[in-house]
Amino acid sequence: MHLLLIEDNDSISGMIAQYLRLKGHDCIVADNGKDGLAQILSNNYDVALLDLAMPEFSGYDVIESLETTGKLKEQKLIVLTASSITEGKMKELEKRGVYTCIKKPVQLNDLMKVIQSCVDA
Amino acid sequence: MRIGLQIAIAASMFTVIMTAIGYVLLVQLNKADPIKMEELTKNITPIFSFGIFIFIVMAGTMTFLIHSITNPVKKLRDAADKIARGDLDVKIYPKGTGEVRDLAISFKTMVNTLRKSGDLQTTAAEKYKNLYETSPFLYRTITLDGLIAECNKSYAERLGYTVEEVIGTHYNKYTAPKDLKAMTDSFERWKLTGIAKDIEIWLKTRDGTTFPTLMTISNFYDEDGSVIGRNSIIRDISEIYEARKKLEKDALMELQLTEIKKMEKLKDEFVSMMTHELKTPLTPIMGHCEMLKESGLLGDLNQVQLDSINTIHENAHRLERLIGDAMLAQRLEIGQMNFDKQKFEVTKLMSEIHNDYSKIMKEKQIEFVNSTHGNLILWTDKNRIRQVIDNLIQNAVDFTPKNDGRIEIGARNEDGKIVFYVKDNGMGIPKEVQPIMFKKFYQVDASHRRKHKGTGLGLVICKGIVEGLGGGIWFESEPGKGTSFYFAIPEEVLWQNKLT
Repeated sequence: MHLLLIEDNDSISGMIAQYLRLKGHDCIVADNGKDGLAQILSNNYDVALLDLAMPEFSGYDVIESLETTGKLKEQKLIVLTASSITEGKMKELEKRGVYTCIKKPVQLNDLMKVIQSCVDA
Repeated sequence: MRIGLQIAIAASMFTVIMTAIGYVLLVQLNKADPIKMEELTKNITPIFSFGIFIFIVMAGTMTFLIHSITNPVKKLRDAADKIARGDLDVKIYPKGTGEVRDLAISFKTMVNTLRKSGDLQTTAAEKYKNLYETSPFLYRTITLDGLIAECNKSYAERLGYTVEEVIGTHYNKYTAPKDLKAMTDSFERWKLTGIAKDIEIWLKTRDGTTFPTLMTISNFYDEDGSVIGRNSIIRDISEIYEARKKLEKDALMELQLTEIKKMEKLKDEFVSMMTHELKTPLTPIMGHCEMLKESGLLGDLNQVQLDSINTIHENAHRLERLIGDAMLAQRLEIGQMNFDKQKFEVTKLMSEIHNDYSKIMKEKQIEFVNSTHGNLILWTDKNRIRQVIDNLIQNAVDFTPKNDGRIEIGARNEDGKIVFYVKDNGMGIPKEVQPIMFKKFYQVDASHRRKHKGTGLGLVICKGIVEGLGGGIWFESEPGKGTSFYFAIPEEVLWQNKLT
């Protein structure tokens, strides 16, 4: 699978990318929202994993930009959320076109299952 | 009138006298002629008789008039004299005739009116005297020397004295020590300028207690118009003062409350931030544990290494739960919990829960029963209800002995409420700690906390969720026999969605 991980925390992105690669997938890491958005707009990823809480250009900004360019319908997106997000907000994001939201800390085998089901969907 | 009568009488008398003189003169002149004498007598007699008649009539009229006019008028004059001297105690009998009688009646009316107004004046004076004495205001009149020349009963009594005791004493005897200077300043300024502004002064009673007053001062003049003292109207404003103090206190409290709310908000923001910050490092810790544990992914570990990773992983999980619970408890405490309402089948939820726990219960050899009957439907936050039941089941499992343990879950309709329950036959809750079961970080046995995987916040969270959904939570427990937790959620939607 061709995967994109947009995450500003190196420890988290490093760990997840390492896991996904060990599982045999191709994983590109973008450590800020703007780079992530550029990656999505210029490449075709099977699934993009998006962190919400990032400085300057957040995950919300990425989603909003994808909405305005119409790319949100094409790009399968899984949001990795901080614990402080409410159920209501998660539902709202799913309504807007996000495949699903996963709360951190993520369980890697759970994440893998979600990615698989997202690709299959 | 009287003069007219006197003239008439005088005229009639003059006629009679003149007739008599004429007659005597004629008699003297005609003495020698008897015939003329006889003729003269014959002619003069009617004139003379007429004069006499007129005189008698006039005298009679005079007598009548003196009785019917002069006397009543004289009496009226005497009465008027008496009234002029200020004596209204006069008696008037309307005698006489015509105008005199009318005059007497008018006079009597006038006297009565005067008498009435006199009575009114007396009543008014009494009334004002009474008002002065019993007025809720305290009155005192102070001379230029600062001595109290007069005061009302209210003043004396409020200060614990009699009026007699107060009169002649210096006003500062009744001034509270803290206001002595203010009072003296005000008095001296008044003496110089003749002007005194309203002033708030505390007065001192006989027993030393003090109270706040508001004084309004007016000048007291003598007949020449020079100031000889001042009248003070003193209002006891103890109640107003108390009310004002209360208002100030309330305002202060409101201010403090606003501060507290601000602090709460800061605290909440801090908790949210901390939770996020604390959870972030847990992601790589737990992720790496997972990778290390997965056979073959990062190379094989020996058993000791694997045990070590398991311990790290387990504690990372525990830390994650603790952070999550702390945040949830905080949210519930400050009413910032969001609830997602939805209609759902309670019976179905209970079956799901029963299924989900069956495996674990079998492992622990605990008899697990779901005694929900009928078709129960609620409109509330299903996930939070599930969270409460999960918590209660977790507690029950932790406190129920293996092998012969029994846990029963269920729900039933009771007076418009759905009552959920989780019953166990575990160790029970000691009587002395039952009242503090819903307090933060409480666990029955402190040493148990280390074994028990809970955070000590479970019941706090349960209570917060249930109450947030408009319900109530309680338990029945007998040490050694078991515990039954119940919570009731109203079927009607009573809860309010508390937004952040």
